[in-house]
Amino acid sequence: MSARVLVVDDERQIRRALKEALVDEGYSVVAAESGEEALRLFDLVPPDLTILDLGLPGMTGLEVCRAIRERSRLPILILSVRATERDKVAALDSGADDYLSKPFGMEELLARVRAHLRRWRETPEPERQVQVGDLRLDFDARVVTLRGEEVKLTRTEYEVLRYLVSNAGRVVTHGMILQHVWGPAYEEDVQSLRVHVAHLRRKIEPDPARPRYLLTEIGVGYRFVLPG
Amino acid sequence: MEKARQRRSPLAYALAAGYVGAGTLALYLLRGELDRPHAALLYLLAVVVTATTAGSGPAILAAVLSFLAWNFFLLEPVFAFHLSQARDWLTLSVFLIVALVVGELAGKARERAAEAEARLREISRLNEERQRLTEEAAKVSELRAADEFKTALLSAVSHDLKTPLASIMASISNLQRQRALRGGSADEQETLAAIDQETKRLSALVSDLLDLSRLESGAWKPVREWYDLADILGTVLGRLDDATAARVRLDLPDDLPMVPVDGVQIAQVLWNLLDNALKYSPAAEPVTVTGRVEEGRLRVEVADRGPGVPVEERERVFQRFYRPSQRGDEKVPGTGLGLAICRGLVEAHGGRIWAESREGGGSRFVFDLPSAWPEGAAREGKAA
Repeated sequence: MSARVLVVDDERQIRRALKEALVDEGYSVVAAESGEEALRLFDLVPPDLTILDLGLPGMTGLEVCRAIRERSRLPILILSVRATERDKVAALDSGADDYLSKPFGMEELLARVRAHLRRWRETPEPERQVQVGDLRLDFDARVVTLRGEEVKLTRTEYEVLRYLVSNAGRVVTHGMILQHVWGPAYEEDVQSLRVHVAHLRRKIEPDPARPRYLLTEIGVGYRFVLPG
Repeated sequence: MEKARQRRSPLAYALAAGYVGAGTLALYLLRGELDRPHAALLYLLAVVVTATTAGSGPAILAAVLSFLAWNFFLLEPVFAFHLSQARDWLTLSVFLIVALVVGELAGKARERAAEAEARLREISRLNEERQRLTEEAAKVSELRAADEFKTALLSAVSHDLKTPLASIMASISNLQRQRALRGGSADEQETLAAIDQETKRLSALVSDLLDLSRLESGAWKPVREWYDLADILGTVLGRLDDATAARVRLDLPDDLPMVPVDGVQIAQVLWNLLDNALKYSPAAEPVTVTGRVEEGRLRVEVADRGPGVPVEERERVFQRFYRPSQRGDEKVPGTGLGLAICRGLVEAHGGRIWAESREGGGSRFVFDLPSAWPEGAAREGKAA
C-alpha cells in the first residue's frame, strides 16, 4: 500500500504543487489549509508522514506539531519561509523531525520524504545493531567497530553517538543531546558538546574535515545520516 | 563655605570697625541724651550686626573696639582708658561672649543656608538629568520600535516574496519531471530550462537583497557562540556536490582554537567566498582555504587561480551590485551582492575583509576577526 502524506499549507498553489509531485511519486495525498483541519484529517485518515507549514491561520504550525506529537511519533517535516535558526530550533523542539525552507528544491523535498518514510517503516523500534558504511554499532554490547576494528570511545562520546544514531535522519538540537546525555542542568553547554563531536568525528569519520555521517546543522544541532 | 571664608576677608574686619565707628558717631550726635548702659546697648548692637553679617572673627574685633570706644568715650574720666574696675572686665566679657555666640550661630545659619542652596541646586541638576534620561529613553524606545517595525516589515516582505517563488519553483520542477516522463519537444525543454534558471536567479537575488537589508537595518546582529572553524567549513563543503567539494583544499591546524562567532553568518561568508573562488577559478585548479589564529585574531584566506582582481577594483568588489569588468564572452552568473554581504557580516563581527593578488596568479580574499570574546557582547549559550 502506498504511503499517505498529509500536506498542511495555507497557500493553495503550494498545496497543489506538492500534491502533484507526491502523487507522481506514488504517494496518496491528503491536504489541509489550516491546523484545525489538519488535526481532523490526521485522526480521520492517519497519514504516514506530515509536511507542515509554520505560518498558518488560526492554530500555529508549532501548535499543530505538538498536537500531532501527542498522538503519534510519525515523521513531521517542516516546510516554511521562516528559516532562522531560532524558528528551526523551536520547530524541532516541538517534535518536528526535519526542516526545509521555502523556496525549496522539489527533488530535495522528495528525497527527504523518502528517507523519513524508510527510516520510520524499517525501524519503528530503536535497533540493537546499526551498520553505517564501514561503521558498526552494537548497542547491546556497547561496542563500536570501524572496518572490524574496535573504536575506543569515551563514555560521553558513546552516549552522544548512540543518541544521534537512534535518531538517525532526524535533526536533533544541541539542547536535546545535552539534556539526554548530560542531564537537564547542562542544556546550555554547547561548547563542550562541540568538542566531543569533533573528537567523535576524528574516530569514526573517514575524513573528519568533510563529515559523511555526523553532520552539523549550524546554529541548530546535528543530524546523523544513514547512507542510501 | 565659600561665603563664610569671604566674610573673614580684610573687608569684613573693616566692616566691623565701620559698625563700631558708626555706633560711636551716633553716640557723639546723641551726646547727653543717652546714659552709659544705653550707650553700651548701641555698641552691643554693632557687635551683633557684625557677628550676623561677617562671622565670629570680625565680631570679636567689633567687641574689642566697642569696649575700647565705650571705655574711652563714655567712662569717666572720658578720653582715657581704664581697666581697673570689675565692671570694665564684665563689659568686655559680655561683648566678647555675645560676639562669639552670635557669630557662631550666624555662621551655622549661613552654612545651613548654603547647604540648603546646594541641595536645591543638586535637586534641580538631578531634575534636569532625569528629564534628559527620560528624553533619551523615549528616543531609544522609538528606535527600538523602528527596529521592530523594520524587522516585521522585512519578514512580511520576505514571506510575500518567497511564497510565490516557492510555488513557481515547485511547479517548474513538476513540469520538468512530467516532461522527462512523457517526453516533449526540444523547444519546450529549452523554455522550461530558461524559466528554471531565471527563477533560481531571481530567488538568489531576493534572498541576497533580504539578507543585505536585514544587515543594513541592524536586524541581523551576530549571535556569538564558541565555534570550531573546521566544523563550519565542513558544513559549507557539505552543500557542494562531491566533485566541486573535491576542488577545495583545506589548510587548518589541528589545534585551531574555537572562536566566538555567529556560525550561520560566518558559514555564509565562507560560502560566498568559496562560491566566487570556484566560479572564477579554472576547474582543474584547486581553491585553498587557510585558517590561523594569531595575535588574538582569526585569519581566514580563500585563494583561487582565477583572473585576479585589478588593484583599482579591489575596494569596489565589496560594493553592492558590483560586477567584474567583462573578460571574454563568458559572463559569470551572480547577484553582485555576495561580497557586499560578506563585508557587512565580517564588519558586524568587528573584523575586516579585503582582496589581495596571489603570487603565481589569481586572487586571495582574506578576512580576520577577533578570536577572543568581545567585551560587552552578549554571552548567549543558545542560538536564540
